[in-house]
Amino acid sequence: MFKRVVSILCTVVEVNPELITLESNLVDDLGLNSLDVINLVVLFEQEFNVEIPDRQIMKFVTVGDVVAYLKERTVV
Amino acid sequence: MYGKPYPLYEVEQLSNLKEVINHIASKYGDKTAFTFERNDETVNISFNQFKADVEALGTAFIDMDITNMKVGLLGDNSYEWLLIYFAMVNTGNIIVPLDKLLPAAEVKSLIDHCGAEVFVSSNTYVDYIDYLRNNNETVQHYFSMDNIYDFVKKGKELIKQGDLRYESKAINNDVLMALMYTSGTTGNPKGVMLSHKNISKCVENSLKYIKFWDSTLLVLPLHHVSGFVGTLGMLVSGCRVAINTSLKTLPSDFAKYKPRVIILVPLFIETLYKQILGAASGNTDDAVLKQIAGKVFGGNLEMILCGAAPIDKKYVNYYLDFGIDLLQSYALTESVAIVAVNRNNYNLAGSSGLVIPNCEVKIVDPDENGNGEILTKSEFTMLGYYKNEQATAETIEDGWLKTGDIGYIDEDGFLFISGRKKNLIVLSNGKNVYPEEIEFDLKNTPLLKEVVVREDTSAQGSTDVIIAEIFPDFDMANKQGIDDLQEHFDKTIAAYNKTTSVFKRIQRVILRDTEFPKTTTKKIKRNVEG
Repeated sequence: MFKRVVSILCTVVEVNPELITLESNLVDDLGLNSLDVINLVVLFEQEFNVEIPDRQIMKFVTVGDVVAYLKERTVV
Repeated sequence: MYGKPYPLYEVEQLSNLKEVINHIASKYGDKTAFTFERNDETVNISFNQFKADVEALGTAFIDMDITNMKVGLLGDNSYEWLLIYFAMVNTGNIIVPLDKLLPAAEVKSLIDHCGAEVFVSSNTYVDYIDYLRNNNETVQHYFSMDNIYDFVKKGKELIKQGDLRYESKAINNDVLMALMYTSGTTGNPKGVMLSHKNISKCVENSLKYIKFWDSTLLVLPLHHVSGFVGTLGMLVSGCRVAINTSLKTLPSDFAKYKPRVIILVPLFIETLYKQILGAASGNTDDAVLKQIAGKVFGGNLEMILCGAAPIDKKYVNYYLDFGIDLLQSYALTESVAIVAVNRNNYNLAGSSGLVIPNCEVKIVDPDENGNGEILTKSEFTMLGYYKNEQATAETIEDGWLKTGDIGYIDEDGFLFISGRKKNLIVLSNGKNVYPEEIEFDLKNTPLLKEVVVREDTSAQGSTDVIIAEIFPDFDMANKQGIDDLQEHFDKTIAAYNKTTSVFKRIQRVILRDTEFPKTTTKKIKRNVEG
């Protein structure tokens, strides 16, 4: 799951995937703004076939938050 | 700059929001006012239907004795949000639009502060209703936007039976109509008090300078005055307003609704530009970029009005290359929405435009470059801050609103914003330094993530020391193998100093390990230790 999330992240942000950890902050570490995060969420929805409500998006602070949310809602 | 001065556009006189509704319905009738998605179907609402729905809902509210009450309104952008807003204020209520990003406890503190008797939200935010029911004592009526059509239906039946109470309800143009909380959600809330006349006159006079046409996409949140007043401007201009209900569907909404004009804030303008470059995969050919921009914006976009914050003037030229006029404006909630705006055919990149008609602006105690605090006086200057006489007295003097912004007006009348008064650095030789200007210049410095420029108050003696405190992009530095970031920034800043005025030079660079503390809207808190 983490690897899949990182690979999607790397399509929207220019960063060495090896530097991304569960603790990486989407805004402060990866340089995303709030609109980038929304675009990213659309990609996660497509990749993992889940619907992520708008209110949930605001709760994503770190990569780990996204991974935990997706893990809970997808069948591995 | 392009264009030259030209006559004002003609706009009808508007004094309250009931007049606005009557005016747009009689002028545009069965033309589509709103279009949006509901349960996977496209809904179109005409100007006439909008008026009929507002009248019906207003009648139902009067029937429930909901008049002269304060109404908290919280939810995503929707037709129902606008319907409730108009029905409430046209029946003598005071609307309190609330930011849906605030946690329930902060919403409660604002509801407590204004003593709202009514709270309306959509089912998505039902937890706010639960929280208020358990923790607030002022709210007597709770409504869900999702059930609002039951009341519209009831109001229509009453009107059918001859109920004229909505129609005969007189509007007092000069009293409090909307309470807009701008900051200080805990501790010392600042609620900007606006009247029917404030809002209507701002729309009327803005439209003398700026023209909207055909269709738009509503993206900015309606609880922000720029989102709401911008929508009013579009309706008065007869535009079809397509409503974007989630930013997740922004790309498909652009493609579907193909707006001609739109109001955005810099965040969108910069991010969408970045996406266009990304989609071009390194191709910098103008024709290619223009083609991609056309796809991103739906193919018909001709004008963007930018508000809320200054945007780098380079974007005006970038967007012009896409065939899109980008017009900067100067706005503050305390003066409803717009004080100055660039005109469709008279636009000066980097400026905030011309001061709109019937709005006075003066620059107080200007320095040798003409920079001073901007004061404004007009029919759209706010009534004051709610329950905060001290802040009101500090902000409005003899009808003049002290904006707290520093700027100047050039010989052609274009307003330029230089910075915030509270951040101004006055050097011992009397020269003024605007930290925001320097920060703006440094924004694109390699490996710089955040910067705050300020005076070094710890410096001894009479020498003025300007310092730049920088939060570096450590990941990128690591990637590029740069270990000595102090050396890197000392060199970068030395290079910058060669390009700027002597008194604006930065004498010292301080690096920090953590980002700057921020507000909930992600703005850096400048004067906070941390």
